[in-house]
Amino acid sequence: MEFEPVIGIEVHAQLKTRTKLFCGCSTNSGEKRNSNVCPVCLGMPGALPVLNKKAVEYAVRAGLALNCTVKELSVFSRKNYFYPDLPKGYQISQFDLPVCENGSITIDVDNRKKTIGIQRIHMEEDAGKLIHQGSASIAGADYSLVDLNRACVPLIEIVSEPDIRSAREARVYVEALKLILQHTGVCDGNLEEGSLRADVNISIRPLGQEKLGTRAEVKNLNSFRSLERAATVEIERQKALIISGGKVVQQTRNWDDASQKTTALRSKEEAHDYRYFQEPDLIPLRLPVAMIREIKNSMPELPVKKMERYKADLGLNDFNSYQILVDCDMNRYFEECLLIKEDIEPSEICKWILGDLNALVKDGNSSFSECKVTPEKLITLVKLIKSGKISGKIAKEVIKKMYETGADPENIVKESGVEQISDTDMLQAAVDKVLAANPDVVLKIKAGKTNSANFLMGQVMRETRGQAQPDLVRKLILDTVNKG
Amino acid sequence: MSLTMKDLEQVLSLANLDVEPHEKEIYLDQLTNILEQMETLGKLDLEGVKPSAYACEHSTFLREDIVKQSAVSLEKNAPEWELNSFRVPKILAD
Ligand SMILES: [Zn+2]
Repeated sequence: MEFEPVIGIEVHAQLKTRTKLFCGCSTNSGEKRNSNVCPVCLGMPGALPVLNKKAVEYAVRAGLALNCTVKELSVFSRKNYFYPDLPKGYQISQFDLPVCENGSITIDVDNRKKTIGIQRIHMEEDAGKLIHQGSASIAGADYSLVDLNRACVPLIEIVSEPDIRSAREARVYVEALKLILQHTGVCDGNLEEGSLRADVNISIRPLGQEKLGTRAEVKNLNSFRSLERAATVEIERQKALIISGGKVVQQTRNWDDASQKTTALRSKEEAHDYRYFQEPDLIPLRLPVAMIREIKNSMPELPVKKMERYKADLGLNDFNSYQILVDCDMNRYFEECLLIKEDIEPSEICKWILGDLNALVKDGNSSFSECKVTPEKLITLVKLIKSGKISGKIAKEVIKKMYETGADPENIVKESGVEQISDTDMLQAAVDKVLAANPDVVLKIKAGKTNSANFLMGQVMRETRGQAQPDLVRKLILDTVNKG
Repeated sequence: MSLTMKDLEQVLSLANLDVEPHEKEIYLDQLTNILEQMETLGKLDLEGVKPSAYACEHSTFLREDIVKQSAVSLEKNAPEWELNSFRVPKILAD
């Protein structure tokens, strides 16, 4: 029997606000444990939540970027459950009236376009963090420590329609979401560090059957590779189970990167298990149309549009326009270069960023935002090549020094004496010397074998320690031979 | 609207409450009474009236995204405190 996987994905994205969703505590969770907490996020009696305006703006921005309808009225609800990382005993979330609904994005799966529906986007607060003691995992731990710096940090949950049909599509969808969230400045999109978390709901059904199979939710996916791998493994597990006469049970499963397996974590809850009810401490959120319009007008350029612009206006190819886009930091750097590029070709700038500079940044475990080679300095370097002052080969050495010391390319070139010789008189002397030493080659050239000039060029380059401008040398050799 | 014993048992199970069978009869009776009070609303003409969960028509207040440190004496509020963290007992049973 042939099976078809049906996949829906819930993505939790941490919003890039300075403060938490309902209190003025900093969202910086890297600080000392429990240093960014207050009566509100600790769930102390009588403390009241006050909604963060920026978080609302970001949620709306994400909704607009994902072609959703932004609701003028949305409501917060309590999701009740007991767990030590949840100080109030409930999470403030949105349930029946989320802030955005009915969106979609079109993804490109190995050169095939596919549209994935977005069911809803809702706002909610994050839980705290548990540090288990006596064992690496919760099972086997003697006791646990609770850090509430992350409690109440704003999240949006983006729920897709079950439109995804393969592990590959699942990966591409989350990659596309990440890119959109990063470029709209809503979330920094780090799967490894957990600022973006994807839970993948998977079921399978016989090909052609309408009715959906029982689904399992896979969690703990810390990279795009594990996401694709986990989905593949889970699809295969369900197939094998059904073929052998078994039944898929509705449950949450944990992906383990080490064993490349999913294991049952708990039976999957139904909505009624959470006893949702409207949050009595917050009245509904009513978004004025003017506010939604203002957010719409101030939307940053979306990655798809940006890529089109790079191709159409800047003449970049498909591959480069995508590569210069995926790393947000690098993209910002590239955009800054474009502002000051004058007559330099964008493709030339792109080549240096994606090539040498990226290699240096990666090797140095650094980032473009803290790179000592500022956009101004990179443009100066490319100008030096364009004007013939230095060769592309020398430039590769110069950029290394620039990266290490932060010095100006002009100074490096002057100090190390690597400036290309484009002084005709100086070069003519070297050419004459080489021609005099190689009369046989001169004869060959005269006889029409102009390729032999390459040998002489090599000699001249050696004479000038590689600093001669190759085109000029070639011209001088041919001119001198023809005159003589 | 009437409440069945099945509805009551569902609510009790969700709320994690243990109730003796003879008490269930009492509660079912009381709850049914309360719900019947609500039937009064059915007598009103509510055509065109939007459902409301809140008496207030305003929007919730929106706070600017500005950090405010607050001093809370955590240790005093924690039954057990260790390494700047709240200490909680074993979460999963053996
Ligand atoms: Zn707080």
